[in-house]
Amino acid sequence: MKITVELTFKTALRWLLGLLLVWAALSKLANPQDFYGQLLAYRLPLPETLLKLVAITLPWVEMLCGLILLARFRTEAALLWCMALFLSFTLATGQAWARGLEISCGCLNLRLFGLAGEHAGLTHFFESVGFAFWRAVLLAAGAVYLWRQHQALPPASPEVDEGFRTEGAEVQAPVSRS
Amino acid sequence: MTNIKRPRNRWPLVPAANILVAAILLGLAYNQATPLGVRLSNSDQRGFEPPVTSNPDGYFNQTLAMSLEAAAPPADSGGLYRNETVSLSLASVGATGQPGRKAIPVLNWAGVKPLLQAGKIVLVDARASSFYQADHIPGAISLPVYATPPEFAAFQAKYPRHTPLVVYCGTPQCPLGHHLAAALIEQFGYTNVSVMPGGYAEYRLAEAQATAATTGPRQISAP
Repeated sequence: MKITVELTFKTALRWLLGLLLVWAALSKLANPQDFYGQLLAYRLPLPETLLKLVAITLPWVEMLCGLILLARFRTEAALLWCMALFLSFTLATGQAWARGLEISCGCLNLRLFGLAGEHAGLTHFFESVGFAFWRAVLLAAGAVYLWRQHQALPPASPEVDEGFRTEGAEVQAPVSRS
Repeated sequence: MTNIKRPRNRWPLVPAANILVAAILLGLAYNQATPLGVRLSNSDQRGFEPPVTSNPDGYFNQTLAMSLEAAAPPADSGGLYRNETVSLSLASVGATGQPGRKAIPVLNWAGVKPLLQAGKIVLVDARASSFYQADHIPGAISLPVYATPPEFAAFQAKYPRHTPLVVYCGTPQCPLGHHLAAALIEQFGYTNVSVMPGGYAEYRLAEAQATAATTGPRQISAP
């Protein structure tokens, strides 16, 4: 059985989205109550119970989707979630930015991996809601691109793009579709 | 095995719903297991009793040193309570780490709890108001480090300069507690300010059975 991994833009983007989602999930799971506080800062017109459920569930949706993208199993469902998530993030950060809410976005915890602390100004920029908005736009665009690429694949053999191959003879094509 | 003719699932709603169900189940289980999970109930019943504030002026005549003498020192406090005055007994760190600045005393939750319950200190939450709204240490008041000048003025009007204050933030990694303490000392002239560096997380870990103390966004209102 021959396995070839060809690094294409699609594969790199898939890995990037997967790793970002896992990182985002870990940084939220480290302190769910803190994430709920950050969520309240967006002042979304949603009931408190729903926001609590979001604070509890969202990190795990991110974690599962990230792992799915990395493992390339049921990629379609994960990409559908990615588009929904990143679109929601764009709306949430956009409305917060437009209203001038002074919040740290709560998206990625830089301190989790010791990436913050030395350069306070840089940390402030990377945690600012404006940066979070443009990042969400970029991520949404990436997810939509991957989704469209995925949908453009021929519908004949769905097993292939789900990352599973059982026969040795037919798998000489590079495993590069994502 | 290859070339199975099957229509492509354009909108994979069922697997997406499966992800959601799995995430909800994992989330609820994890939230139950982790000590820093989101608090679901808003009950007023607490494992930790909030301070008695029937005599709010009582602590204005006392110093933190007197309060520490009155509080029963825990057996495992080590050198923390060895001396009798605040300046000598408490471990100190620099306000911002810069030389030439006066060090700010540091207290842990074990030291803060009896003082708070006796109403001998005012506990100040330095986090943004949304975090205070989500949950806070019972009895604490909200004074975000980014509060507006009218909010600081309201705080000053309510709490005179000699009020013993203990400031906390969310986690030991959060610097806002030290920032607010330094600002209270240097800009507003408070003379008795300490920091609880463990913050809200330390309280949650210590008082795992206590339930939420949620309230509106601000307790200090501008005049």
